[in-house]
Amino acid sequence: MPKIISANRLADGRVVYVGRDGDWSEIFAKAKVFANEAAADPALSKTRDDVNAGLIVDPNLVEVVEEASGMRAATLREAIRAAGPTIDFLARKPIFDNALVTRLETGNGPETVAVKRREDFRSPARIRTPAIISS
Amino acid sequence: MYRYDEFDRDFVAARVAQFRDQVDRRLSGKLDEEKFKPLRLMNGVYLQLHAYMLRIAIPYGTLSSHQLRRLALIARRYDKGYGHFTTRQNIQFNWPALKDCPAILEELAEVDMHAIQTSGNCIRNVTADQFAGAAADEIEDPRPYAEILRQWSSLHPEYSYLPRKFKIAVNGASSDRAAIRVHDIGLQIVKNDKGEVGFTVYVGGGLGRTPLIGHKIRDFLPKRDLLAYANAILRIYNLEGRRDNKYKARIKVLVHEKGAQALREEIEAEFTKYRDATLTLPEAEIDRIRAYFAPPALPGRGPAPHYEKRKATDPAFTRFVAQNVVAHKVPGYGIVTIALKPIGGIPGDASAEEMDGIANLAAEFSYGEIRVSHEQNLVLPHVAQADLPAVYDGLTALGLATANVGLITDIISCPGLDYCALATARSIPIAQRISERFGERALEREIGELKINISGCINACGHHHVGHIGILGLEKSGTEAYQMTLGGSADESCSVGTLTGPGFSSEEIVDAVETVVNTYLKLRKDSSEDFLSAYRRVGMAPFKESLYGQG
Repeated sequence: MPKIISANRLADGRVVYVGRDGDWSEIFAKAKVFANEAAADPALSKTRDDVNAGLIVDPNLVEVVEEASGMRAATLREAIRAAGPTIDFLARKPIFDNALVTRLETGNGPETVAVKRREDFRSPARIRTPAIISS
Repeated sequence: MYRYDEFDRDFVAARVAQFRDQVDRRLSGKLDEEKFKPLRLMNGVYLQLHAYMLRIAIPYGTLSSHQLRRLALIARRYDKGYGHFTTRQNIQFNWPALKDCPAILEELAEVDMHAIQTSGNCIRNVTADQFAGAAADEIEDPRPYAEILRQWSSLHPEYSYLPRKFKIAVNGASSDRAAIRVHDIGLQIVKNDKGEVGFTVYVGGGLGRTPLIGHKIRDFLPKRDLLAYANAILRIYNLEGRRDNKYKARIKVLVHEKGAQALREEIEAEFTKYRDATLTLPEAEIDRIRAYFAPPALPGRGPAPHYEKRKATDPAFTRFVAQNVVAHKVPGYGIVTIALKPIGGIPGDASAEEMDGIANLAAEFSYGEIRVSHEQNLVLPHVAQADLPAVYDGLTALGLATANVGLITDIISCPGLDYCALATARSIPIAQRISERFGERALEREIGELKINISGCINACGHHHVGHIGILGLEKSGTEAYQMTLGGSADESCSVGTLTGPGFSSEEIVDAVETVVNTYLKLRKDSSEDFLSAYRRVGMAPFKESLYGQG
C-alpha cells in the first residue's frame, strides 16, 4: 500500500508531512507518496536528521490510498490527523473586541462582562465524516 | 479555599523555572525526546493527535473565580478559546504550543495552580465530592483531607515512580458523588459508634481494560492515621505491584491476584509497624488545613418573594431549579450545577467567555467559588434561593441553563479519536447525536435519571463501565464499532456494567440506545422506578431481546 511520511512539529505539535519538495508541510495533499514501505524507508531514515535538529518528533509511515480524485488517508485516525477534529469545537473566533480582552487580562475589565449567547458564535453541531476507505 | 503559603509558592515557582529550562534545552536540541518526554509528562504536557495537550490540576475540583478567569485567559491567549473539563475534575487545553507551556505554567502559578500530578506513574490529583462543604447530607468536608494527601503526595520521592498511576478519591457525604469505589484508594468519611469521624477505606477499584470495584479493607480509620495508612498501602503496592506488564500494574490487579484479605493483612502489618512514626496527623494540623475550607458565613436571607414568583410564572426556571439545584446544608441556599452539556454540545467543553461568565456569576452569587464535577459539569456551591433567578438569567445569557443534570443528555464523554492519540473511535460525536436525539423533549424528563458514559477506547477515561448505559468505541476492521454495557453505576451502589452483546456501528449506536430506553419505558413499574433500578430488577434479558431479537 502507498505510504507518506508524517510527524509532529516539535515546537507546537502540529501534524506535518514530508512534501514533494522534501520540506515538511502541514498540508496533507502536498505529501510525497511512496509506492510502498520499502520505497519510503530511506526517506523515513533521513527524517532522523530532523528529529536530531529539533524540528519534528515521532516520524512514521502513514498508509494512503490513491484515487482518481486524489490521495486519501487509509484510516480514520490518519484522516482526523490530516483534517482536524470532526466536530465544531467552541469559539474558533475571538468574540470580545481586543481592547476588552486586554482590560480583562490586566484586571481592569468590568466586573460583569456582557457575553454573547453561545448560539451567536457557534454554529450548530456539525459532525463531519472524513473521507476514508472503510473496507 | 486553600491558598498557597510561602513554601507552596517557592515550590511551584522552582518547578516552573525548572520546566522552562527543560523546554529551552529541548527546543535548542540539547535534550532529546527520549529524555524530555517523561519531564514534559510530569508537567502535564502530552502530545496528542494534532497538537500538545496541557492537563492542569484542579485539586478536589475546587476553583475560585480568580482562577477560572485565569483559565479563560489561558484559553484565549495560548489556545483556541476553549478548554475541556475532565472526569478527574481537571481541565485540558488541546492546542498549546510547547514553547508556550512554561509561560502558561507561570500564569497558573500566579493563581496557585499547576499541572503537577496530572500524568505519570505517581499519585495523581486527588478528587472529591463536588458538593463538598455545601452538601446537606455531608458528614464532614472531604477537601481538608484531600489537601493533606495532596501536600504529602506531591513529588513524594518514594512514590514518583510507582508501577502505574495511582488515584485517590475522598467522599464526605452519605451519597457517593466522588466514585470512590473505582479508585485505587477510596476514602469514605464516616462516624463511628463513639461519634468519632474517620474513614472507611476501599482499595483496588479502577476502570480501564480491567474494571474492578474496590474492596473495603478497613471499616474505620481514625483521621490522625490517614497518611500512615495511605503510606502502608502505597508501600505494599510499590513493592509488590507488577512492573513487567503495564496492563497488570495497577493495584487493582494486585488485590485481585493476591486476594483482598491477604493484602489487608499485609497493609495492616505495615501500618501497625509504622503507625506512630512520623506520619501521624496532629489534630492542630488538621484544624489548620480545615480552616482554609471554612464555609463562607452565609447570612439568613429571609423570604424570597422574587424566587417564589418566578417559580409560579416561569416553567423553564422551575424545571431548572428542580433538575440542577440541590439542597444546601444552610437553609435558604442551594447548590447549582451548571451542565456543560448543552443539547448537541461537546460534554465538558467551555469557551473562554463561558468561563469568564461563570466566574462572574460565582463572584456575585456564590462567594467566588466554583467546583468541577467528575461528571464534567461546573457547580456554584453557595447560592441563596433569592438569587436563583439572577443566576438562571445569567446562565441563560451564556447558553448554559440547560436543565438536564442527571438526565440522558448529561453525558460523560472522553475526547476520543477527535483529539486523543490513544483512542480507537470517536466519542464526542456519539454524545452529540444522543443529545440531539433525546434533548429538549418532554421525553427526556419522562425517562428520568439515566447516565450515559462514553469512552473512545479501552482505557475508559469516559468511565463507560459505570454508566447506566456505557458505550465503548473500538476499531473493528478499520471502522468504528461501539459496544454497549448496561447497569453500571459509580455511586454508593457501585457496579460494573454488563455487555449487551455484539457491538454496533456508528450509524446504529444511537438507535440502539433508543431501543434500550424504549424497553425501559415499557417495563418499568412506574415513573418512580429509574433506569438503573429497573435494570437491576429485570436483568439483561429483555434489553438483549429488544436489541438483538430472540435468535
